Amino acid sequence: MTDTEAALASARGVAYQLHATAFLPPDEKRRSLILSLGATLHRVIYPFSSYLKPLLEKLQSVSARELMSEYTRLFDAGLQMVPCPPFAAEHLADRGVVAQGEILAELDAFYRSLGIRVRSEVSSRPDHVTVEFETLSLLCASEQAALDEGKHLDVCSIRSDTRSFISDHVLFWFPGFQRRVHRHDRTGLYVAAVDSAYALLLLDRATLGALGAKAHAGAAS
Amino acid sequence: MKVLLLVCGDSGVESPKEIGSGTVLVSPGLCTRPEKVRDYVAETGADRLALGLCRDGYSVAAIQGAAQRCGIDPLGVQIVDLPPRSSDSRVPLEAAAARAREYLGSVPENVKLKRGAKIARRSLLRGTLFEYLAVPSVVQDDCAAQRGCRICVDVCPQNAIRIEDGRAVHDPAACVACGLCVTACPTGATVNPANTGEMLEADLRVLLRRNGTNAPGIAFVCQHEVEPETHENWRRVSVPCVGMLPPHWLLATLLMGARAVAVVPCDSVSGERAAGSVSAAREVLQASGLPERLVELLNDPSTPPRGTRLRRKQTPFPFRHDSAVRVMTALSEITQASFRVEHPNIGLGLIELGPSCTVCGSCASACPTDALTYEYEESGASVSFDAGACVACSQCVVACPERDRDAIRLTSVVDTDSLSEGRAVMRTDGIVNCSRCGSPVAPQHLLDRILVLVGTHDAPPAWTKLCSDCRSLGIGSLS
Repeated sequence: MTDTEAALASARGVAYQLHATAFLPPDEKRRSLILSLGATLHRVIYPFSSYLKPLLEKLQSVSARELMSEYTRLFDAGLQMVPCPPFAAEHLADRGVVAQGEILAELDAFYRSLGIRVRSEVSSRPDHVTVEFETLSLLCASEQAALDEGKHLDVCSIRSDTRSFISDHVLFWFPGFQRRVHRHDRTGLYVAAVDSAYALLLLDRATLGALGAKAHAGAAS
Repeated sequence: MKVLLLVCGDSGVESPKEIGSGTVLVSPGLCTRPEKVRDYVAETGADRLALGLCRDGYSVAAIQGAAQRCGIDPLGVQIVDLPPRSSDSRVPLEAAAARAREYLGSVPENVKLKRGAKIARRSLLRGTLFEYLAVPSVVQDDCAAQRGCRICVDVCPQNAIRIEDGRAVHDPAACVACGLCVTACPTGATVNPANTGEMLEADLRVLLRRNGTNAPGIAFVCQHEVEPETHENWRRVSVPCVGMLPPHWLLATLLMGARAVAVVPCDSVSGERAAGSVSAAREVLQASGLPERLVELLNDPSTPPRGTRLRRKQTPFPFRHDSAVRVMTALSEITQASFRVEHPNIGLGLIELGPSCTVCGSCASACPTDALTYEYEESGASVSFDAGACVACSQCVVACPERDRDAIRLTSVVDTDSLSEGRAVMRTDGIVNCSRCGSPVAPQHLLDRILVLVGTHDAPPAWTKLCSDCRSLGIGSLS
């Protein structure tokens, strides 16, 4: 059922967009956006929906002022060292995997292959958590468009790109970021955000695994 | 926990009247209208769900979707397939409710998805696009991978586990949830929430209740296999794979009141493990003076159980990775016999340290269960051992730098006398202090061994009597 899969791709895209917004400096507009995206997701039942509840509840209970001060302390204290840098390269370099520059260059090349240019108002760095989640959201939108147009080969290739971006890159660094947020967050909101984002990544990988065979069957026909 | 047992009224089976603290409801047409689950859950306030549904008459994805819509974890939903006009469904339904009550909840790592069999236009809104399968996850704080443990990696027949940064990482796509890693894990860090030992124990408690002298036999079968028809006196218990059953779980089932225990062999490679567990359990029975036929590999499922019920132990036997000692001790108490059985699958072990042990402590650092521990003080170094904690995983032997010189020997054995001895010091050694600053350097035997090794390379013997700080300062000044 292509239209069902397209609707699923759309819901996954909304979930990524929600988390991309959650890791931007908080303001009233963004808070409303997250809540409205959350409400959209609750209308569909796909494996991720139930993990989102704590984030939406926390978002309604934490004050805007408290939220902003915690965001700054955790992620964005200017030139100072922050306890939870929201950048992939910091965490990968921590693990001694590769040099930061190499990671940034690889990400840049990946985005270019998708035709994406990072907007400077989001971050000047391509490895910011928001940029990576926006990219995943965009990949879901491309998958939805390919499904709508019946381009099965494109669907396969986009799913494969999404899956490898999640498995080989995001899931490689995100758990380290999640652990740091667990250690340092005082409001509980960012703990809920990283936990639901982690659940989203794992379940999306599982979803793509389950969808993979069908897309290949479609491509073959 | 509030459990709701819902039985499809079209099945025509007699449902249990009550299930302890839970609620039993019979609903006609439940299999074809799973959305009714939502109303019943709202009405009863249940947070755990067990269902009795007509065999081949329902969609798993639809049932799980309906459960998810009302906030119930789909991995914890227990479904009993009810054959048409079955006259014997009350006990399996009660057992399913007991399993549901023991369900502790899942984490996202436990979710594996499979496309539902029937994909309708509104699948996404009804939550029926996927079937949920539970796969194991690792409680990282309890995992011994950081100490070098690789047991789960070695035991996995699907190569679905790898060690990454000192952590065991599961690949859900490759995992078939056979459960071998769960029972092989020496620290209990690997968990499949949909198939825990506690759930199996709850299941068995119901199946073995109210049978008086006419107790049934328990036949363990793989849930992936087509269930064979077994003799009516066997109660079938599905496990993810019979290869996951350690010998002490088979013996614990006997102690809980089963007349006999059988394992229906499966065709997978794990079948060999199951045969090994049965063989180990039979040797224990024989050594303790009981008939070994009480546990058997059931090659012919039409054979009835051949045994008599043991005196039932009231003590609970948690079906855990570390309950082997309790089971063996209970068996020894019942039979009033001490026994010693050597078997590669027994899951318990004894360590012997030979004269070439240098008391370096590598074995203790690698031991995932702290059966071996290492004390290092100014007065001396010592290695101690507790047979009750050893699971014969052989990580200590792998870690020993002197294993080729028989410094350490592991025997896979249950010895009831050793189990009651507790922790004992196995080897001690004096500490050599630095000849320059007086701080401790290393145990004497270890330095002697180093001297033998470096002596062949003309290294100055005095170096071994210096601590690492003084050695770096004194390079060049020693002869």
